[in-house]
Amino acid sequence: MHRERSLKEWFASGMRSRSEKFWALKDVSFTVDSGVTVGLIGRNGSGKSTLLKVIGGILQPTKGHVEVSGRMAALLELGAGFNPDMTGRENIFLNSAIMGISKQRTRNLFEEIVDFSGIREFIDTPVKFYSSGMYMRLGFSIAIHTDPELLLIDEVLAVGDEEFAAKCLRKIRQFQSEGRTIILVTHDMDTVLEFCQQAVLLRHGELVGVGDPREVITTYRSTVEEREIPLRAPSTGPARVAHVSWLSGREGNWVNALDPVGLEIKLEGSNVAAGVVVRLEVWSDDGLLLFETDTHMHGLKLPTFDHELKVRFDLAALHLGAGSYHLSVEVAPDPDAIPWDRIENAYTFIMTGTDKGKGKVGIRANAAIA
Amino acid sequence: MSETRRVNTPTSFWSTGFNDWYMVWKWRELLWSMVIANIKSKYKGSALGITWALLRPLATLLVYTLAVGYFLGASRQIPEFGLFLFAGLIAYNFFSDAIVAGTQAITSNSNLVKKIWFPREILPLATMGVAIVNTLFQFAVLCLAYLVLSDAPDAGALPYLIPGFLILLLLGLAASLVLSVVNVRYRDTQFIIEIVLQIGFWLTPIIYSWRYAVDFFNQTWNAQWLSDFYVYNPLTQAIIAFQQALWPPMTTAAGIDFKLFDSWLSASLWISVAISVILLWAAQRFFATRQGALAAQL
Repeated sequence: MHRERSLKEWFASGMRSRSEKFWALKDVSFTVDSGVTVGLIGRNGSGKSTLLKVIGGILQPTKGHVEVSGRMAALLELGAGFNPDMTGRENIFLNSAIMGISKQRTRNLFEEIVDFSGIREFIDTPVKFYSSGMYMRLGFSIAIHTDPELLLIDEVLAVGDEEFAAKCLRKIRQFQSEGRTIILVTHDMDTVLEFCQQAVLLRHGELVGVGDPREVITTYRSTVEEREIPLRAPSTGPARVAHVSWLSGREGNWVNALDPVGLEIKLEGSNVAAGVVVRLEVWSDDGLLLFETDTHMHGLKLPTFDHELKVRFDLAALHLGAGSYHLSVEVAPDPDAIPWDRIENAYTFIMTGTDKGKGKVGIRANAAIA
Repeated sequence: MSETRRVNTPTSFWSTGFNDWYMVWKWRELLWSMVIANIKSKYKGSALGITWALLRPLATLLVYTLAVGYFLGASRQIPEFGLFLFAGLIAYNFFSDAIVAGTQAITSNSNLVKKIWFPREILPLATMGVAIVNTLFQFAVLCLAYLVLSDAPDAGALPYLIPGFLILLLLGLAASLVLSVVNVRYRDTQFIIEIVLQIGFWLTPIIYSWRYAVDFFNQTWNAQWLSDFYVYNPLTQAIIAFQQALWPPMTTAAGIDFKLFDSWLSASLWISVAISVILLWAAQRFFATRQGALAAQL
């Protein structure tokens, strides 16, 4: 990649070529079967969007090549290419033309596009007066109606208000059932688990994992954990949380929604008075406290101890939906006091969800003819 | 499963470029849409709208006729000076409008280039299309002037416009293709090109006859090669072709000194067309080898 330069800099640098180069993508090679939905995952700057642009033909690879079959549509930014002074109607035709759709076909699709976007009453208003939601609705509606066999999506799976977002997801589902191929970039592992049959993990522009989404996400999580070292400040009291270990209910980073979980928390300290409280919290990926329990709630009075003390929590099935969660653990002198020590993100784990259901919670369900 | 195809692979300079032009042909509807969108949004919201496209050349015509024709006395040597001037001006305005807009064709559409794939040649081609439409308006002003002055060129002279227009079109496109890409990395290009075009205006026979320049080079500087270069470069050739087509006195005795070509099939004109074709080919190849990196550079 080249850094943008002006002539001034060019002269200033004594006319030497001084562009700094690095490989945005290197040795990335994989195949996607038609009809498969693929999730491209990785941290910010890992090359996901660049890869999507290379597949879409927007960026030319310096080495290597991409082969595709069928018509392709890229949803990298909804409404890119809208002319603000032109009406929604005019922009439908302009945007379709940019994507290579003939005027005749656009005319045939016009009603469908307008219906789907749900902004019929504003279709003859210049798009500069549109709200950002309306803008995206129209952009999404046009892109989705170009009948692509391969759809490239960059974090725009669901746009607009709740109702329209649901409509988008239904459309995506329909695309999948029609055997179209989708490649999507996302940071949301729930989306990958829910939609994708294949996941591709990039790190610093290199291919780290490709294949079954669960396995690839596990790899991703394990690399994320390297970075997300549990946060903690030095203990302010005589006791600290030394270690959290899973006794049961875990396979790798995977936890089944219906399996019981056993956790052991090791405290360290010297001459700790009796009655300290150990607290265990379960947090969702987006920062919601889902569950908390502590030794005080259980009427468990911890004895005085020197060196170390182990506390065990047994949780019946967690009943959480597919996705990523983490545990935080703290130790406090009494139930209401500021904790002495706390480990944020002591453990990150992924719930597999239940195989016969999906959603925010994992419930054992049965269906039968009544 | 249908055939697989490679996406946006690097191409070599040494190729006909036929495939790229074929892609442009396939996306021609986008080209029209862009030209129309550009013109629409340019005049949208202004009370006079598209009339402005007529008023600008009209104002230039009047002020040049007054200042250069009468104050400076050019009309004493060149009959119907206003029309003489306008013939050259139409040609040069077309060329310079196309290049100024063409240089910014990619940078001003960076959002498109970064997000959507389509044949990138469409962008400089669309600015060329807009320049053609603007030129048509100037022709309308010229026709108006013919009516007012009740003087019109010989219909037999009009075919000179064919090679003249072809040269400007091909050269303008070639320059736009190269400059639009260069401008992505060196934004100074758009400013440099404005200066160059301003200089070019005075160095081509628009407000004076090519013969003055040739006489000066031959007699004062004694440089035959310079006068040859002056007359036979494609840009001068195109401008003189426009004058031979559009300036009424050209076909009369008064125009004898201003004539360069005997016929619109004159060899030097068509050699210029051929040179322009080769330049356009080279420019497109340059463009094709660079276009893949554009989205990363913008």
